[in-house]
Amino acid sequence: MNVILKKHLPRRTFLRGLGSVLALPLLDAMVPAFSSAASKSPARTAILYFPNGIQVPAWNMDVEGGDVPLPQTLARTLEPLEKYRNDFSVLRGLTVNGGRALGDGPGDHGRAGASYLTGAHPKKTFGKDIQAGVSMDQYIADKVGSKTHFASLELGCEEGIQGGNCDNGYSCAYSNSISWRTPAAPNPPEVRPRAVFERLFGSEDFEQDPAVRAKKEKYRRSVLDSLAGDAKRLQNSLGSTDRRKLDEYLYAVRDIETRIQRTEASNVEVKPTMDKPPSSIPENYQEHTRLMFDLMASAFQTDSTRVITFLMAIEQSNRAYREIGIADSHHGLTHHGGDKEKIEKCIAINRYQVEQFSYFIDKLKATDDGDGTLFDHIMVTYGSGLSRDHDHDDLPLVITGRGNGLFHLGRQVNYANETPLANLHVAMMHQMGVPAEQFADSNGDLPYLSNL
Amino acid sequence: MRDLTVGKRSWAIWLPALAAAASLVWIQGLPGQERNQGADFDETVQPFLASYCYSCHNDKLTTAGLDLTTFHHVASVSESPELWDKVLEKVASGKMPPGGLPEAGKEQAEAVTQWIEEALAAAGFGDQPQAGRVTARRMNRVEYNNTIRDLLGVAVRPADQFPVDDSGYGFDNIGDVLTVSPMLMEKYLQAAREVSQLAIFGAAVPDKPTKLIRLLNRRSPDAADTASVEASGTYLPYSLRGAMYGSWNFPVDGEYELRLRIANFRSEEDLLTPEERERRAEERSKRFAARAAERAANPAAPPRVRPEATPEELQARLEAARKAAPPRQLLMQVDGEPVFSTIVEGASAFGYDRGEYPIRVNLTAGEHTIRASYPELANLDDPRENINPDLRRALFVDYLDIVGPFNPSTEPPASYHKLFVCGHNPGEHGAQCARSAVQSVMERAYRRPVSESELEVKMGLVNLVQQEGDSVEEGVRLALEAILASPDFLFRIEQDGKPGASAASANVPNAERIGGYELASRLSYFLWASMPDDELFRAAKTGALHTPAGLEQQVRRMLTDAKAANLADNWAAQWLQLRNLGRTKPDPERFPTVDDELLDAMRRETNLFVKEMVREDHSILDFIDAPFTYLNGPLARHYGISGIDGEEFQRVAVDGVQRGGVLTQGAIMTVSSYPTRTSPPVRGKWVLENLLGTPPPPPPPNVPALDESKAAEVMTLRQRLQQHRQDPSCSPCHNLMDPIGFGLESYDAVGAWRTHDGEALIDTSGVLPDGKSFRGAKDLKQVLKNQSGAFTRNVTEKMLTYALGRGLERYDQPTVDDIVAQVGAHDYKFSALVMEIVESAPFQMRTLAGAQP
Repeated sequence: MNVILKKHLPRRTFLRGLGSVLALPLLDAMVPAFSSAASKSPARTAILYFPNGIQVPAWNMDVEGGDVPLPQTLARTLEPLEKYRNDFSVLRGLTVNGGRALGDGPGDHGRAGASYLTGAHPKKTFGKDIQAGVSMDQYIADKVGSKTHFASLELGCEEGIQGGNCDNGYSCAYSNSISWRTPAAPNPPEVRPRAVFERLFGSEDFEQDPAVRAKKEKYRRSVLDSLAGDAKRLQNSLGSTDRRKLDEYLYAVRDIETRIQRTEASNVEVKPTMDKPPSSIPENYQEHTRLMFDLMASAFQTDSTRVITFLMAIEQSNRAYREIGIADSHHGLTHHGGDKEKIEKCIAINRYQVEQFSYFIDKLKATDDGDGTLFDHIMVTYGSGLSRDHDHDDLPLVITGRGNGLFHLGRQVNYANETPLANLHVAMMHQMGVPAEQFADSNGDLPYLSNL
Repeated sequence: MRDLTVGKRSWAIWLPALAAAASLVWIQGLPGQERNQGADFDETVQPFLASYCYSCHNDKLTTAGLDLTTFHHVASVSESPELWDKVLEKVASGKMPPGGLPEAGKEQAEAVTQWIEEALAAAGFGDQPQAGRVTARRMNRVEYNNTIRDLLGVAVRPADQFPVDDSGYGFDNIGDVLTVSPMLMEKYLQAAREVSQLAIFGAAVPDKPTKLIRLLNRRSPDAADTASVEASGTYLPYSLRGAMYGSWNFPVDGEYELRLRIANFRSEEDLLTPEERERRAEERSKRFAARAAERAANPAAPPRVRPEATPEELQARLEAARKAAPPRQLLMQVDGEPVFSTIVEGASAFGYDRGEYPIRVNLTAGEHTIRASYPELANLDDPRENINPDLRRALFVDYLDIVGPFNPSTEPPASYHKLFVCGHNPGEHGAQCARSAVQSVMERAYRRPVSESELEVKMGLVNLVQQEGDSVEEGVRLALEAILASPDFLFRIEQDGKPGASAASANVPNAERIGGYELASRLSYFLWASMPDDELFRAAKTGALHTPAGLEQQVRRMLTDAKAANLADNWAAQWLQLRNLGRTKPDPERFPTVDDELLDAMRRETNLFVKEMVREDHSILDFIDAPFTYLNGPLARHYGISGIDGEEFQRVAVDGVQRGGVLTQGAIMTVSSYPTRTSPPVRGKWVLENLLGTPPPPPPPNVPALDESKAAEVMTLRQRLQQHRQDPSCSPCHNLMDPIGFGLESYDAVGAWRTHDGEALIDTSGVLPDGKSFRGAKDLKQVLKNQSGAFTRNVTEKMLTYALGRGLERYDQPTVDDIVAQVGAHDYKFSALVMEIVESAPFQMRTLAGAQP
């Protein structure tokens, strides 16, 4: 457990299935004051993660004060956001302590990815016993997931690495995902636009005849029943490690059962709000990210899910960005040792990614959603678990979207260094209705976040 | 610490962290030390613990939950072997005590670790092989696709849509690491629905032949050229030589039309000498200048009109265009068989409006490989000869549309007959047919007999469907859907205490033999990454698999089966890290002759090499050095080897100086390089890790992972690394890694042979920490061959890990020792390694539930 809830509810209430997943009714007393001012449209959360940190002079804007307007001139990396200068804020000084070595030696990339949303200090291993924590998006998923077809979506633009040891003794699993359903089960991101589309809107045509539809649903339910039966029979005959595997399986079957029930309850066709993407993954980064951003907007707009995590690239990414003239691996370049040319290339990559991010802002502002646009209702964070030179403090972080009033935009907020990033997670979880009082190493409210 | 080259077991090589220390020993060859047999707890261990450990690990602090002050005698080792194992590991690897040790302490530590090892051995954690338990393994993507293929013979690869499998210990088939997320479960269900539909009712065939897909050739090595959402085609790899190749899953037996469009951008201009081109350009500009002057002088004059060409002139122009470029063969192959060939003539002006070549082929449902290419271009010394000044390729295959099916088969799919074992015609199936169909597919899918009650549950689905008024077939389909999504299919589950599993062997305590069917699955997933075939099922049923002769017969048969390609495709490819090849492609500016096709050729070289190792039962030491390899024209030219022409791969004899053994293969040299250049430490690490199984430890805390760019460009890489090694926190490992990498500097970052790096002459000399010097790959390979013990141990560990689907534990060490010794006694034969593994205790047995291995 890495979350503490108000009211000290009995522990077993939080445990469901495999993981220490939060499952509580939303008690009015727990709803933060400011969300009562919220509009009717539900809040959404999108966490965007980019790897390999930033180049300090090109990202950081050193302005005095706690909560100040963005400076006249944006830092070079952030320039692509100029036309949105009233639509985002920069947060400084936030830290993920769990990403630090804490005696475990090198491996900052693996730790950065796995600690970013979990706040956990991942166990150093590349074998069977990976261990991080439950990520904040999964607490949100557990709270609001029952209202949508997908509790959460995990997306990315780079396929995870296979091979075990990715970063000085840390399993590739740590850098392949930022979303963790249980401390031992990362949620692998889907990188294929077509696959995301088919997940959201189905690969088959919607059956128009209600009788046929009902029969098909009946068949599906029967199949799921038989699977649950198989799993339970096996569980009874197996030793503990095998049983754990069956638990995972059973959890997944149950999850799908619940989702089918929800679909049946609504029993309407979810119509895609975009064209079907091509079957192959675009090699062009911009094309790929845009498709994924379109899909994210589409998923939110159709209320298919309310929380999405998105990896611009996996942590320690070796991707080369040849479309902007960079043939070297991104991670390799960040070990630039002061070489000016390499630093420039790092900045160019960071900037190129920010440029893609700006498309998402565009998209959110242009997507109608209830009484406004998605932009009004969503909370987006764009950041990395690494800052300068593999450090884990003063992390680069941009927030955007109004989050139903949670985010105060057009500002730079300078928090005292070492302020836990988990404080922001807690604020966002609150806004999503998760009654979390404390999460990971969080130690209080984040002032200036909101102008409410 | 002892010599690692002998088969004798040594903990040092076992634990990854210790392996670091071991690798130091490997080359330094510590003088044989007398074991301090007499050292006892009070004299050796307790004072050490008191000096270095008690300050944290005491009854008050119990740091890390550990209180070492409670241990007073040797018996504590047998009482808490795992704890002492941990102490051993921490002390031997230098992780503890945290601040390091003074010189005197180091000697003490040596004695302490020895004492612990001996005490552990005395406590029964000794030389006896143990079985261990393998966690239920879900099939990985490869296994899933193969199993679906072998179970039903349907033409799909559903797992290509599954998320990437996580790996552990370097392999993607580790039960503990393979998880089932809700998203994966969703995909399992979808796959089960689609596969069951296909297997019984066949693919949905369009009413009339339709364009099924457009395969597009990439326009450049850069990603930017695929930037078009509208182009709803599938991009295939980039080939400088203009080839298009890939594979596609054809939905149904039938006739298909492959519509091929080529691009011919050859122009007369390109064939001119540079001098001639310049002369013409000059002439042209003179002409323009003269005309401009004319117009300026007489602005009122009517514009000049080109006279219409006469038919004769047009004919002459066409003829000139035809002769302007040499005729080239265009060849289209399906599954390696030629299906179409023509001659492409002339420059672009000739036959520009040719359109598509329609090619009709009869194909079975399923995956077929397609290749359209200009075979003569394989023999271009430099593939850039096919590149025009405007960077377009002179000749290439533009796109390929697949249209069909024409006259699709109306027969039920082959899988239909595989399923309905009753043999009745469609529409004539009774209840008994449904039952026999479900039972037979269930048993093959679960890879074991099924109980009556299990069968009843699935028959319930058949009945439900019939009650709803649907057909028997639909009922069987729904049952199949449930079978394909069942944990009994998706996981390989081994049950404790099953009847048929014989009693524990006297040699392996607390363990029982796994059942015959379980053993059959272990064998088939190890060697084939798929389910057992009928013969293997039979051997399981009759018990033949539990006899040494029966087992050996099956293994030898399986190794000669085409499916044993798995050992090259999956085991060796993961062992040698080849799945990372091309993840970041070599920089096309620095390596302009390296395209996707050449990277594929490199992959194929190593793949064919490993396949021969398996097929011809070579000595595993041939991995280090072998007198042969496999090349085609382009790869041979990349290597600078003459006399190998054409696109086809052929076996080539090599002398071991430039080429011979995996280390000298392009795939390995590329995967251990940066996209822009070589890195001796990376290569050195690759060798230590993957050939000797002694990875260097990670760099010490707060030192950025090797930073080669610190020094100015004026220094050579060698000088820069030398500087790096002067840092005492870097030198212990870099003194090991760097010389090995220098020995391989004759291979550039894409595996081509070189004598210079820029201006500088390549220096391949290296000095190992023991002072031995060597030069070049040939010497280096000799050094490695002298380490045949460490190499064999490493290959054994890699293969045993893959075969078992679990990480090796310290109790597996006696097993590894035995296998290493036996493989050595059998001339290091590949088959001996496989046989020893399948006969080993961990492969044949499992530790009883609840017992300690």
